[in-house]
Amino acid sequence: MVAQKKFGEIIIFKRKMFDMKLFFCFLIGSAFIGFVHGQTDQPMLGFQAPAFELQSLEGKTISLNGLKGKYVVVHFAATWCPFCNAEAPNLEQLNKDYRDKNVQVLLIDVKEEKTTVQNLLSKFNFSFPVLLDPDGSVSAKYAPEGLLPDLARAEVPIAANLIIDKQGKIRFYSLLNTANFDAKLNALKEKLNELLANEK
Amino acid sequence: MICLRLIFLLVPFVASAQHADIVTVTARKLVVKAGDIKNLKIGIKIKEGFHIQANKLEDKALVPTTLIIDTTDGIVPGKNKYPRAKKYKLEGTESFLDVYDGYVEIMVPLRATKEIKPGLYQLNAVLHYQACDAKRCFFPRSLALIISIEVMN
Repeated sequence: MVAQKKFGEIIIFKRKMFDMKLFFCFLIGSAFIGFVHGQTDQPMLGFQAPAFELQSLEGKTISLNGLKGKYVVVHFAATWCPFCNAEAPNLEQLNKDYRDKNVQVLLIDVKEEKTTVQNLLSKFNFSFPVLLDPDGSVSAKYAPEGLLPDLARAEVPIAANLIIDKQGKIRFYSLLNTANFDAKLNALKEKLNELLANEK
Repeated sequence: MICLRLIFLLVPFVASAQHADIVTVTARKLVVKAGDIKNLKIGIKIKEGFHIQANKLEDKALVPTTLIIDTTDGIVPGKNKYPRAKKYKLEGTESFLDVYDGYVEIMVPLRATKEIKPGLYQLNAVLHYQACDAKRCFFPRSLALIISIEVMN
């Protein structure tokens, strides 16, 4: 009788242990998936920015390597992207405000024809280079690994803004920071000011 | 306890199932008499939290939702009637977009000519759209569908 009772207690104890293990597996699994799918702001910080060499709308070749020693603000865009279009006048203003502070603004248009980009972006009168990434290969390199796996890699960075420092490292990445879409680029300017102030 | 175990095991996978099937498009079989016109309804279901640009847009840079139906001898599509757009405010801006969300229908008047023979016909159609949510936008996409039309005497 005593042995039976003890056996029953062992079974209950084992079940409880199993449930505890299952619960911890659930917590770890959820945390991992949350990390992969919900990493919504500032990925790739401190990473070396992937190199690129692209043609501008004017036919000039611009490489990231050639801009070493400058802060580079990169905006990935497409003419059909409402977020990008809403941000465009502020990007132009940012260029005007910072171009004398060793900052280079670049817009990388993803997977569109040159003529389309020329026609549809002319209204913004950009005073900084608009680069063409016709096959999306550069944009794809800037898609953080594992993030949004069911999207085309080139699609992930659309509307994102980055600051790349003088050594070519990513110091700001507003990818999917969309709970608060920052059309006025306030967060980017804040980071840029901080980086410039730290130089003094 | 078994239910609890199942919930523990399934919840992480359910939460990760996102970004798939943002837009689905359907068309019911249309039955029309030779010589008549009937409205075909094309249903567009947009996943909750997402929207697609409407057909009539103020900003010409955006990609309008369009439905293109192939023509075939004896069945003549009329002008598509697109649903009324909703206004969507872009967060952090003063801009409004014209969008569709939820479930909407495009009406297409289809005329079967008097000369057409009774039978089952199929028309190919393509829906072009560009989807966004409150956070980001996706490449423009196209969805193909086949429309079945039964022509009767």
